[in-house]
Amino acid sequence: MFNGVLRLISVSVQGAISFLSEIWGKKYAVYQLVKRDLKERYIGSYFGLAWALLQQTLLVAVMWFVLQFGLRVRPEGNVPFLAWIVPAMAVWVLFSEALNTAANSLISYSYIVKKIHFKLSILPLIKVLSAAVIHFIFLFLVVLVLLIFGIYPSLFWLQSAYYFFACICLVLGMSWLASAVMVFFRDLAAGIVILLNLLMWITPIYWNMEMIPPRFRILCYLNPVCYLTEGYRRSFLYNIPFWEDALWGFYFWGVTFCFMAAGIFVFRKLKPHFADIL
Amino acid sequence: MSDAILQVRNLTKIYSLYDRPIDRLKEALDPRRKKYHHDFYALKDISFDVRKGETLGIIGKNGSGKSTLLKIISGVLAPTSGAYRVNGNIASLLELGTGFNPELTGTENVYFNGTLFGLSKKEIDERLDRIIEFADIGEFVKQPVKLYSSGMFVRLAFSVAVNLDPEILIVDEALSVGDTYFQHKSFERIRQLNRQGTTLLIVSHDKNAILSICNSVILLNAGTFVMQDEPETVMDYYNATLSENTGNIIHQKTTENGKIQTISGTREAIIEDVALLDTGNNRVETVNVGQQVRLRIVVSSTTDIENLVIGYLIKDRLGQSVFGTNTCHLKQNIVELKRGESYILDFKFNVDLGEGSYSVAVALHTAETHTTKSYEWRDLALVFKVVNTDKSKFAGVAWLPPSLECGHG
Repeated sequence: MFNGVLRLISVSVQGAISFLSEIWGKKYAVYQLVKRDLKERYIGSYFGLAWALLQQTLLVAVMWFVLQFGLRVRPEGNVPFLAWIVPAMAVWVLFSEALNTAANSLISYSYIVKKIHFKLSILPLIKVLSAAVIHFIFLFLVVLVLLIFGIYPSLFWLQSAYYFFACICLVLGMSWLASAVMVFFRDLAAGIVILLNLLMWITPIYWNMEMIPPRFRILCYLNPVCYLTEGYRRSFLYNIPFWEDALWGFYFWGVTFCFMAAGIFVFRKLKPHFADIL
Repeated sequence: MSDAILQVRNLTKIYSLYDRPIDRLKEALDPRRKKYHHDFYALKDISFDVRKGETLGIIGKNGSGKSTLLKIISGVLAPTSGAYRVNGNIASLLELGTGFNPELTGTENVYFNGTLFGLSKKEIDERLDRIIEFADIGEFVKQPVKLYSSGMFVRLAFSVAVNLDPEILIVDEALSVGDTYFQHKSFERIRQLNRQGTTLLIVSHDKNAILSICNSVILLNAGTFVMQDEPETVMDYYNATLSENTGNIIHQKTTENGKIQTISGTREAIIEDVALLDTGNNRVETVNVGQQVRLRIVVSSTTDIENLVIGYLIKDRLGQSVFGTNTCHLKQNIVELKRGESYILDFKFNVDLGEGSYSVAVALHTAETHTTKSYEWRDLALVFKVVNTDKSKFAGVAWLPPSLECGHG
């Protein structure tokens, strides 16, 4: 049993290394595809990526207004409400945008799947990376809001890179799984939209974890996305290092590992059939 | 074979066909594992080798599995069983302009397309001038592709593909794109690649393209391997199979000079003799350029035939058609044959051909072409040689003597 687990880990680490080195070899292709993905999204519009910024700003503004003045949500500690929601929103938008588009990636790139011999596992990654680019634009907004409220940069801000990386890993595993299954079962697209909608409210993004009784709070800890949203807050607002809650970190990486392993396994298993079905 | 760049062994591709889409799900969930699909063999047990530098043509009717085969070799589709091994990098032109985005400019699309084929930025940088020059679309290269004419679009796409410099290039029906000038140019480029040692796999319905560039041709029919041989032999056989009538018998035999002759048809009318005669009624095998000859065809029949059309086709060394006609095209009265009768036809013409060896195919059929009902089609019915004894030196397959007028303008 123990040996089995050990072997599984070593095999997946080897797989991950060979996968990463293969992607590194194709970095120019990845760069081109991401660039084109972003271009396609905002092509023909005069403001281009400015639309992404505007969209995010409006979202933040509406949420701020509704939650602070409508629902009167109280942030944790002595932090202005707007400054409190933006970091969590940033990572949430990254997660949901990446999963939503990456799950559909094989279908939207069907012309590649059907016509060209290509490393197909890159395709979900492309969508995740272009979501990451939009995320960086959102981060500008986060920094701007924080500065306006007089919260000044600290070294802990750099810790957000760790949570960013964690988010990419989690969403990548889920994307491989979802995109491969989606080819066979398109109804999954609707399922993912519902899942994301539920997750948006289950995760303490717009409400404070302290608001629910401590015995139910474990439910929040079980949600891996909560690790990310809280992590961004800890980095930008509370200056709490990520190792302070090591147990939660282990749990998160365990879940991420499971998604990664399942994603890679299912993707590999179904890959030969993609071109037949699309 | 050690020098095989591509080895294909027992390749089989089965598609599961479902009558209704819901059946796929039913089958996946059925606890008794009941089958809801039936198998369709797109390819059945295909094996062959391709040597380095060879040009292999793949022909067959629509739906015979040509494209499926190329897709598997390209690595796009996975075979159901069997294996293939490729010793080199492959570029495949399964469809021109895959991934071209109408909103991006020509140059941007070149970069993107090149990337999909696995080239690095540096490699594309090196090729960019060549690609643009070959496509020859002028300043349009800086414009979005949506402004292109369809001809410009395929020219650019083709140009990218042939300038990728792969070791194996797979071309699926992409040879005849653009205007005539560009077709010549692309054809020349394919030849050049071949001379440089690129291995080519070509699917085409263009008979002359296959005959002139392939070393070897594979004929597929309904997913099965029919034959692999020299282009002319396979083409003749394929041509014979196109006749739709029942009772069509095809057989091939080796002639004295080692060529393979294809004879097909129902044999209701038979070609008794084919001869090339000079003006003195002597049989000849070697003729001078421009010499007057008669092609004599003797026909007999085993049944009453009302409307027999007799035709012939002169082909060059590579099997490319040089000239062909028949009694129907010549507005000749329809030949009627009673059972057991024989009939002699003489086609008189001047051999205005270039030096070289030519063959004559003779056909007996009903309508204008042989595909409706063919009594007999005989390839390589006659082989003759053209030599130049008294004309000025010239090049090419035709004798078109000019008169010269010139002077200082």
